[in-house]
Amino acid sequence: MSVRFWLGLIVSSALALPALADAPAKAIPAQAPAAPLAVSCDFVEISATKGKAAGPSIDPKLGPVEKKLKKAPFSPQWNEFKLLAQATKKLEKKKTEPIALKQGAATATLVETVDKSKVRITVTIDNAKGKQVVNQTTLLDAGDYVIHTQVLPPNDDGHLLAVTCK
Amino acid sequence: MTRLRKTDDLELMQHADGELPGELRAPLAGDPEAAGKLEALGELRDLLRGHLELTTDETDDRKLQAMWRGIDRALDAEAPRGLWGRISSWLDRHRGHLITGAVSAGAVAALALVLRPAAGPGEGTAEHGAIDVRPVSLRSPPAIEALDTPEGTGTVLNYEDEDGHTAVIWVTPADTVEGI
Repeated sequence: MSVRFWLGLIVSSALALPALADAPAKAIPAQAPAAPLAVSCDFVEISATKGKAAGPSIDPKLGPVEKKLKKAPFSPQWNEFKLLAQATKKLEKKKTEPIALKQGAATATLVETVDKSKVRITVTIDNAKGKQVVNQTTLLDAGDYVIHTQVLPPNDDGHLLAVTCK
Repeated sequence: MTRLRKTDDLELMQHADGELPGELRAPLAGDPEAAGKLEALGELRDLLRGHLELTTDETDDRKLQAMWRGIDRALDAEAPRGLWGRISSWLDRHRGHLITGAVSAGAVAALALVLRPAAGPGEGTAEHGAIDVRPVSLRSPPAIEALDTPEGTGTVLNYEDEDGHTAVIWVTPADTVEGI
């Protein structure tokens, strides 16, 4: 056999090995160390007011949340929605992450991941005076939303914090 | 007289070299002086030939040695220096082999990827190490497992749209009872 043949065989085997080696690795998952799943959560802070405009006025920066705000229970209550702050945080298990808000403050804690597709997450929100208004724990599918909505006196304006994880 | 002697000597030299025509050889055959000169010329020719051959041999050998040294120097100058140089030289010489190997590897890897078993449930859409965003139809509504609203009343609403489920935690201040 020529050198070309053997060299080609060696190089092709070496390069193809990782692609072929993937299947046996799945067959024995118990031997692989269970790496913690990465969880990234988006936090969108929104102000909601009752304006004079007839139709809803929604900040285009709100992106995927925009459609949800056009529906009840938000739309009849308020018709003007503005983005106040937006943050994306990578959460580590049982580590509380502070979320900076324009009005008040919030924290998020990843309690655990469930079935590789859900997160159990605890969110707390304090108002501008530093008093806690919400402390909740949710089991949330990746891609779904929890929208914390606080009605603010005296004008019944809204302060919203939408949370989604993936 | 001198001219005749020179002519004779030339004829003798031609005779010694075997170049004298046959009709002129006969008069020289019976001349003892010419025979002596012929013999002396022959000895001189042999002596010169031996010396020249030796000189030629020495000269050729020196030239050859010089030539070989020149070739060696040229090869040394072209030879790669250091490990990287040797590796580069080897790669240059086997470039065709490596390209053949890489193309073969690409083909094998492509076949392996095409023919590998399909991903199992929940494996297809997940980024490696990230949680899996499942299709909306497979998701369940968010479950509010604990809720505390110290400054008011909390109400939970769930609804579903084409983007998935949404849980709304509606907090109404304690002094505005009517809420939503």
